[in-house]
Amino acid sequence: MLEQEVDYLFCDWCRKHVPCHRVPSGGWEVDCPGCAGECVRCDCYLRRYCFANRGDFPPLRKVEGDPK
Amino acid sequence: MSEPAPRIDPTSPADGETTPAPLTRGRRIDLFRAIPGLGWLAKRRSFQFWVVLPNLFLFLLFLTAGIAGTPVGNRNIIIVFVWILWWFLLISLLVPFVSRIWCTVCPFPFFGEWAQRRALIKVRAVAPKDRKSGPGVVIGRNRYFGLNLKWPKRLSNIWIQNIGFLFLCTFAALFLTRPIVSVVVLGSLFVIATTLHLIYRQRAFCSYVCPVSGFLSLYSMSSTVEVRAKDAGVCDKCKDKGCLAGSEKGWGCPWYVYPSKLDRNNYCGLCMECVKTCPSDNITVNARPFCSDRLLKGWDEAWKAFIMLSLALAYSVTFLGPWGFIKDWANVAEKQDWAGFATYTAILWATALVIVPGIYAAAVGLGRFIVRKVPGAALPFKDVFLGFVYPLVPLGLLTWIAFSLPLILVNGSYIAMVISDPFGFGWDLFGTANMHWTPVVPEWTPYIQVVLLLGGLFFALRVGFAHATRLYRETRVALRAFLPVGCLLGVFVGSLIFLYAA
Ligand code: SF4
Ligand code: SF4
Ligand code: SF4
Ligand SMILES: [Zn+2]
Ligand SMILES: [Zn+2]
Repeated sequence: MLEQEVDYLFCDWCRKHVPCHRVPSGGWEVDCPGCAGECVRCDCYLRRYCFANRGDFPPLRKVEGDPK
Repeated sequence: MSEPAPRIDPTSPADGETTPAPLTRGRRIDLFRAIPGLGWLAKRRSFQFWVVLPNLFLFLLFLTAGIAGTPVGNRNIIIVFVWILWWFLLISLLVPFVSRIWCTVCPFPFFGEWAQRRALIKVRAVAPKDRKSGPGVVIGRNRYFGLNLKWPKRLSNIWIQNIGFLFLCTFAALFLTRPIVSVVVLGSLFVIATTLHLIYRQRAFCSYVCPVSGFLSLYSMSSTVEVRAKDAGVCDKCKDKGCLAGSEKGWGCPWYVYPSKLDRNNYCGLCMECVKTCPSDNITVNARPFCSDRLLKGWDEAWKAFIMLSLALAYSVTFLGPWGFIKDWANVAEKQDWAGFATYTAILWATALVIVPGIYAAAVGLGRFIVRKVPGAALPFKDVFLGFVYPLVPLGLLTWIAFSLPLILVNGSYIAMVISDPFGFGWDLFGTANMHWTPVVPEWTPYIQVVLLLGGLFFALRVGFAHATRLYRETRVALRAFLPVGCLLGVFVGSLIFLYAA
């Protein structure tokens, strides 16, 4: 179940929506159960977030129907 | 600095009921609580430095011995210590019991990491206002030097390690006889590791290139220790994320994993940085039951399992089997039989990369075919395949231990000899240079091997069946689906026992 007031991204790896949180120091953190912290080999769309505030973030991939 | 993430990605399919039921999670013992002083030790900034340093000197000694010492393999410390003693300790004690502890003490990344950090012990932490100024590159809250490029996404797997390891193992007979070849291999590892550290971020070499890393990552899944977060609730509320981003207490995880979420041992190099950087003391080292990590996550990891199993089989046939001509083929340095060596190489590579995986895939396919009529049992091939390849982790590990055992028992005397005479110059430093070694209980070796192999089969069947139950839920369906793979494992162990004990 998706909850109100929570941001989600769809993870291709896990085939489900995963919540993402704003990290206070900048960036986002996702709870991808597929890679479970293994940013080192994760292939999923969420990988770019796994490094939370580790530096540069590429812009989000544009998904059709994205809110502005 | 970051763009807002979309509230929801509307083009994506609905969430499926695909979340797998968790495999059994056994008991955990917090070793920092159980062993006084261990946590204190791991929190010392200088901890890793002091455990790497002696190894660095040892390796430099080995390299010197390889260059200046005797060319006779079993009289030179580089051969006896690296390929016999180190290998045996690694595969039969360190990996099964202490996971990637070798990576904690490994000297290969020493110079590269030093260049990246420009520090051996201290940390370079950066305040947010200084992120844009100063030299080097800021990642998280730490400052690094060198290019710090991101490792290419396409190569973010262990295929390079798979091929590299297979390549090195093809020349095993050369390593065991020619010290200078070992110098070239170990020396190149130092050079490649250092170069990659200068180009790519943190431990890219270890995560993606180091040929040793592949089997360490695979077999550490079975290991009885792990680094994990203690309480997920604490991590959820954590605003600092020091384990990932680093802090003034330590570097962000050098291995590119997010320690807070970590669930498998594979890519954690036990460097203990996250133990230091977590402000809530929420990371610890646990003891746990054998074979606790159970999910293989990709074809690369599955092929690693096939390569390791095939090599164990090939070495057993080559070095322990009764067929002298195969040994001659493999030993190209002595026999100069290039056509034979080419045949040996072709058979080895075909077995590891195509034949063994092919037979295995056929068995998995047969299992899926048997249960095809059962409602809800039409699972994706990859899911079933990865689940059913996992038994090769305990089986492969125990097969390697069984294979390596006679290696150490037969060559034990050389260890005592080279300690007293590391270069083969005729020295006798500790009075053990001419010690005569009678292999410890040689007549028992085959029995120990049989016990190890049967133990491997037992664990393999157990974890394989656990996977089958996870996938198919119903015991009867699971049994039928797993039957062909189970039989295959039995045949494999049966033939090895025949080879060792006959
Ligand atoms: S991955 Fe390889 S180079 Fe890196 S620490 Fe482990 S053994 Fe050493
Ligand atoms: S491990 Fe420590 S630093 Fe990392 S998220 Fe959890 S509480 Fe925060
Ligand atoms: S999770 Fe990362 S920082 Fe923690 S011990 Fe493992 S490799 Fe080191
Ligand atoms: Zn995911
Ligand atoms: Zn991910």
